[in-house]
Amino acid sequence: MNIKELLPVERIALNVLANDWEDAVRAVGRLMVDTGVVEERYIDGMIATAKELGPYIVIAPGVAIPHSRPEDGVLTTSLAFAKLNPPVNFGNEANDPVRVLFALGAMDHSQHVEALKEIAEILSDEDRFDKLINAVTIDEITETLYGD
Amino acid sequence: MTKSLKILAVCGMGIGTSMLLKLQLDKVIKKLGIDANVDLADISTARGLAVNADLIVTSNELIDRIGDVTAPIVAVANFMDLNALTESVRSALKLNK
Repeated sequence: MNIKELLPVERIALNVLANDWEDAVRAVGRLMVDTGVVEERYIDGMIATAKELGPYIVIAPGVAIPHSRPEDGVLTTSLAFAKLNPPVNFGNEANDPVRVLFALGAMDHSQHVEALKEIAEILSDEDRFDKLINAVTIDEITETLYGD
Repeated sequence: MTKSLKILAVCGMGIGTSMLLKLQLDKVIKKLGIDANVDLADISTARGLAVNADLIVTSNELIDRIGDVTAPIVAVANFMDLNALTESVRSALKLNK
């Protein structure tokens, strides 16, 4: 499934104010709980994972992909997106501060692969990445993410 | 026929970050023109699987958790920097330019 299928506009948030990285993960996780794609405990799972293993979920400058295991409460393979304002430090020296989060809820090892491929394309394309980081409306974000 | 190289992409869960790493490594393999396969592992199974791997690639934040392995390890800070990843893999596998 592609980004458009896994990340509908209801799970995109702009100008998310977070005090710290946990707050940021909670905010993006809330979008998933509110749209019924994960159970409440999945948010705790994502935070526990980052606490246990460190800020390895910050995969590129400004970008984090919080996620946990399928059995931690994923109901449907899904993505959520939050743009933080202001950016927040996650403790990843090379890539802090984090500006955008793509939270992932995966049911298995395959349904989310196509969307991850698209995310990698967006993040490695300087123009599209700049557009995403500088977006001020939801329309600008969906344009960039959906590529239409 | 030469045996294809085994590359292990390691992350915390073996589902998100390592999948992203695999997608990038598949591009690196193509760029380098080598015969290699990328398998995914989470941090708890990585050490066992590492025995049969020719190269391990992981986040620089996870490198201390891999422990003692014989295969060379590439630590990645920016997963999107394909040129840096290509150079790291080339150098770890001791490939010529």
